[in-house]
Amino acid sequence: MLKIDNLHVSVGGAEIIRGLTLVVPAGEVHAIMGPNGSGKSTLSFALAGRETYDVTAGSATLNGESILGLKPHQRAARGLFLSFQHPMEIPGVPVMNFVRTALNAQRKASGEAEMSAAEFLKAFREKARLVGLDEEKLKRPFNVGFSGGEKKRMEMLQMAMFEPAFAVMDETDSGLDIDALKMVGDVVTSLRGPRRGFLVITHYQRLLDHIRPDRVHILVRGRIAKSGGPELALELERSGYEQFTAAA
Amino acid sequence: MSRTLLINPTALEAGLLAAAQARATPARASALARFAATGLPHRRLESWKWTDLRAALRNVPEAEEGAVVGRSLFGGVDAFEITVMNGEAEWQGTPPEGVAISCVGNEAELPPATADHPLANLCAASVARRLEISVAAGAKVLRPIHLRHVGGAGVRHFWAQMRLEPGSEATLLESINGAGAYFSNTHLGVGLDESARLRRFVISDASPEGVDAALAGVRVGAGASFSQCALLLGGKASRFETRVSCLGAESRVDLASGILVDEARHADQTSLIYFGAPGCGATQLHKAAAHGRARAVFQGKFHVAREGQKTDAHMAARALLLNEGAEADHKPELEIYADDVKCGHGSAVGALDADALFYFQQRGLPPDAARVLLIEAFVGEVFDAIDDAGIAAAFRARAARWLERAA
Ligand SMILES: Nc1ncnc2c1ncn2[C@@H]1O[C@H](COP(=O)(O)OP(=O)(O)O)[C@@H](O)[C@H]1O
Ligand SMILES: [Mg+2]
Repeated sequence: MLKIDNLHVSVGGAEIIRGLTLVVPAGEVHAIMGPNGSGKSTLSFALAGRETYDVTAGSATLNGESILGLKPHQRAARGLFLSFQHPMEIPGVPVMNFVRTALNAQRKASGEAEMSAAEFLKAFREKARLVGLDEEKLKRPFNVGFSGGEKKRMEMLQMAMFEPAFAVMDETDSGLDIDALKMVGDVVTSLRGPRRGFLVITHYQRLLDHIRPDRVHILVRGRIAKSGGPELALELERSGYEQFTAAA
Repeated sequence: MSRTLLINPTALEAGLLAAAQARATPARASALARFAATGLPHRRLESWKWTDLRAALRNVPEAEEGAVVGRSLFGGVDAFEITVMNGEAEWQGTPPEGVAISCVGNEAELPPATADHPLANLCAASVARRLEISVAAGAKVLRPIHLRHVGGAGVRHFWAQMRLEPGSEATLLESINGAGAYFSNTHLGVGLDESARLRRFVISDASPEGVDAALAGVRVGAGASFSQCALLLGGKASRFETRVSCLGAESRVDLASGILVDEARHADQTSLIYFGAPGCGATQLHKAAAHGRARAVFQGKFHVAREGQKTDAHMAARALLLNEGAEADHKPELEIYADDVKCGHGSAVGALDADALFYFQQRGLPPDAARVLLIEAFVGEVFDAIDDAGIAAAFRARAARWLERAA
């Protein structure tokens, strides 16, 4: 379970997250929706531990353990996964090398044995099919020459491989076509389980047709302005963010 | 006998002049006079502004008995080895078929490409003998020839001339390994006749007190090709200089270099490609990573003469500074006198990409491992073009050892 209480985050001296409280119980999928610039990515970077995001107040725990004092790789080892809104290209690092090195680093940190090459390859191929990335792409340097959509598929491939305890998905749907949205839904569905949680950040309701969230939260200027059931997303689609931005 | 022109020579310069004068033949005397005109290169000379050999050699390296022979930097590669111990070449067995190797008295003049170079002149004035390697016309020599420079403290000079006759092919490995305080001055002259092909691979691993200067002058004939890959780990001062002259039509040059320096080390990659015939092509890729107070220098110049129409040449140099105290100095230069050419260069100095580092850590890699992976990927591009798996592995292994320590 992810529990965030009265979180304040500043970037470059400006307070972006301003007292955010949110609980995602184990087994649930929550969506965060909000206008551009409301702090969605700031929240996800702060949770993942990016250095330049200063947490000035509040707390965040993952399965009861405070994560705010941990380094990014330690949070990853605890099972926190961030699907990046803008995944980077990393020339010179082949896709498979990278995923395998990362996977084994996480396993090592949690005292598990490394995955054998054969075992890895089998799992990797299977997940690559699930996210719809063809083999030729997987021989390249990480994300180099990938389209925006393919980069998002690469994020989903890693999420499927790492099987994280908690995944924060930052606008995974942006730049994806209908088929790809369905794929994202399939990956989330395949991972969904009683011990796993998801925070799905999105701008539009359409991804939520494929991922049925348990709760929807609306983020406005660094705070949750309203929470509700899946119907809240539909309401938002009809009437826009204005009613909430005016209130916040 | 020409007179010494050098005013206020340093102790080492005085010693070098005296030693060379004592053995001077006419050819050597004129080389000596040319060296004496400048003395050891120093920072007031434009192309030596970042590499002040005279200052680095303020204290004369004292000779010590017994050279240290470390393990071969091309350990896993089957090659015909010529050991150059404190400047003296030795080999055992018969060279590969098509290759002739000999030591001859030093009477010749310097080849044109390096005739004005102070260190080439110092070398020509100082050595009694030089090594000659020739590859017979049409011979495709598969087994590499390995010039393995080893030595201990002291001053040494070495001159080798290599000639590839028309249509021949060869691979030259050079490893430079030294211990203690020394000054090593090597000069390699290469002549590639029509359609000849030479691949040169260099790993330069000087000692932290060692001053190392390796100069090569390469003449590339019509349809011939010269490719070079060098990994420079630096020393007290380390200069790796290549002058390539494309003198025949449709010749091709590919230069790749990597510098990995830490602590107070210094490494300098200086190159000049002269395009003096039509339709020549060249690529140059340079990558450097510097840590501690180290300094990585890149000076690369393309000179396209009026005869060099349809030259197609591209240069890219990038350096990573791994901390505040490290320094990279870049000087890419194009000098073009022909009107129908395609030439370009790019140069960048920066830090490790913070976004990529964070991404790696989010995926579970500890910060150190993330840095190593990123630096390795950055520098590794230099070795990508090596088509021999064993040689590529030697480069990558040496780079990996550096990364383990420095990153
Ligand atoms: N690295 C940064 N430096 C300065 N300002 C930033 C940085 N990242 C985000 N911001 C600012 O924080 C606010 C929230 O941005 P962000 O979290 O990216 O919003 P969202 O993801 O909801 O679109 C914006 O006003 C943005 O300009
Ligand atoms: Mg965002």
